[in-house]
Amino acid sequence: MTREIVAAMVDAEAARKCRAQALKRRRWLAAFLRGAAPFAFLLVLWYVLTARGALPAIFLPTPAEVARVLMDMVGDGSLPAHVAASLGRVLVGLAVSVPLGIGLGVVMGLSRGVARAVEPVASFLNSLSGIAWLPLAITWFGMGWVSVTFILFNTIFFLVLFNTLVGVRGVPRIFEHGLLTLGGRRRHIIFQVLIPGALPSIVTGIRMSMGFGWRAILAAEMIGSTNGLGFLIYNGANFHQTDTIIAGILLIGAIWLVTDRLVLVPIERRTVERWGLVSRPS
Amino acid sequence: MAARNEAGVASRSLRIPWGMLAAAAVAVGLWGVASRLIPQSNLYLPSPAAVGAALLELLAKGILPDYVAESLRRVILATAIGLVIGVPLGILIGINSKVAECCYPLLNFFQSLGGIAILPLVIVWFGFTEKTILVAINYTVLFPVVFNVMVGVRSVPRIYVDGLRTLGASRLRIVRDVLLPGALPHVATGARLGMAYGWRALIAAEMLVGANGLGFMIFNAASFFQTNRIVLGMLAIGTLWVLIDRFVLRPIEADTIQRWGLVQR
Amino acid sequence: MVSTLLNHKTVRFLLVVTLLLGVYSAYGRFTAQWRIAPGLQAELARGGYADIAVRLSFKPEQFHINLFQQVGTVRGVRGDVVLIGRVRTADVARLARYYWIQHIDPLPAKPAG
Repeated sequence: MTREIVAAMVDAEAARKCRAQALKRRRWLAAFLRGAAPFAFLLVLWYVLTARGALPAIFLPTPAEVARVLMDMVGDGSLPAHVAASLGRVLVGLAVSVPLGIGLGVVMGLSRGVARAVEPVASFLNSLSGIAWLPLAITWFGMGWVSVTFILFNTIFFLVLFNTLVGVRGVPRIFEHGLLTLGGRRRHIIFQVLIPGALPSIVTGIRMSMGFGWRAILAAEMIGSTNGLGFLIYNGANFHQTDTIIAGILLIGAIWLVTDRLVLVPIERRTVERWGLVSRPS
Repeated sequence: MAARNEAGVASRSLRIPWGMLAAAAVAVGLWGVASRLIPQSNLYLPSPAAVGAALLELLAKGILPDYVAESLRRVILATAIGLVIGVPLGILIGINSKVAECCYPLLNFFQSLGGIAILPLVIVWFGFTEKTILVAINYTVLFPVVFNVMVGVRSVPRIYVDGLRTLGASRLRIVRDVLLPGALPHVATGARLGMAYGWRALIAAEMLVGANGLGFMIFNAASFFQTNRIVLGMLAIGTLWVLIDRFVLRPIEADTIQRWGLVQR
Repeated sequence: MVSTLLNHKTVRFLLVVTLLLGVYSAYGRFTAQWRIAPGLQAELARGGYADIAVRLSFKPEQFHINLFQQVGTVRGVRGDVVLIGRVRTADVARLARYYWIQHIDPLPAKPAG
């Protein structure tokens, strides 16, 4: 008798879970549609505005023309090349500046002397936008990917440095002391207490610097490079190819949306869930 | 580290930050040594003395004040316009939660584009003119303001709005007496963020489109291999931003939070 | 109320900035009269246009040429002196306010050499 009751309860539980999942999916779909609605509206507006040549093509090309340009550029490989160039620079910039930023941030967090010596200069350089380094970079490295990546390096390094510093300083000392009483050495403290404790802050810093860095790299490519998405749209301006420009802009926005929403935000959230000790600064 | 007097207002006597000055002096000293060691230092790393000479030269020729004034004028104008348009727009969007939810991704998308991505489009529309720079920078400043104001309006707890409504207040009064003050800290934050993005975008825009301003100055100097002017321009750009941020934007933001802030930051 | 305001960082900063701007502007305006040659001043009093020679204490850069081109036709540069033709009297007065201009003299009415 009890076996039937248990089986019925299990069934009911499974059905409830199934319904809850379906509800969640429906809610997610509803939220997605609500979020996508304004974009769809804009698309319709764009189509209507440019239909029948109401606006000159130079001013605003039709969606069809932009789509065609996108297809062409994907077809002849130029678009993937530009995207790869820009993203490649971003990755190189990240790979170089994040470890350096974390390293220096930890050192500054550990030693007050170093912090006091370096912080004013680093703080000033942090407020100097990445793009302001471009003429100097061009003087040093000439036009090309080195200068552009240097801009990115600057933007990411200082932001990660300061966020690491804030994170390291925010780790409660009791964790450090606890490890010391257990016989831990300096490197244990650094790698098992300070860096994990600072991780939420570091990841926030990486995310912020990606935001700034993505803009800086676009500007740098416009001025100092012959490939990349920034160059693509600026070159389009020089030749009045508005369809190329709009295609490029949409692609830039889409890439950032995808990178931020699908990669950075989840990483940030997971990091906070796993290692968050203190409330995150907004 | 500000002392508070009896009125609770943050005040600060003139304290000279010796530590910071010492660190800066050491940095300049190291810089001088480094530039002595590098061959062709005039091109690659001009000494502090060379940069100082550039400062005096550009002041004597009246170039630096003019360019600084131009850049500041553009960013201040853009921020002012951004606030005038953005605050009402943000309030309008934020009042209705359905509209706000709808517009959130849209605003996010356009804000992430930034004025520089828009710049080629604006160049096609308006050419290589002053108007182009202003439009691009206005765009850059506008979205953080609208965004933050919208978030601010939405973050005012409903109980205040409802409370006023039970007292029979009209929509306008609710906006004026509850939403606007409640959103003021966010307006200040939006203005600060907008101006930060705008200043950076301005430098880039001046390099690409401008015929004057600090961005143009450092870019132009690179063509003439006047690296000491480049470094001077960079120092000016950084210093101006530090001054504006520390003495105007952050204090105002802190004050609005102190006076009207509902949420703990 | 005023003292609380004056204690505020931003207010003091803006006051200092306004003061500096005021001094800068006042200096320019005050010394303007000595920058214009007496002969030219008489010509200016009559209104209309004038041809001027602007003497600087340095060789003019593109920045200065651009600025002068906005007020008249730049006829030439002789060392530290820039020759500008058909400048309105109001613009001459405006030029005289720039602290980096040493002297403004009338151009002798000669064909451009």
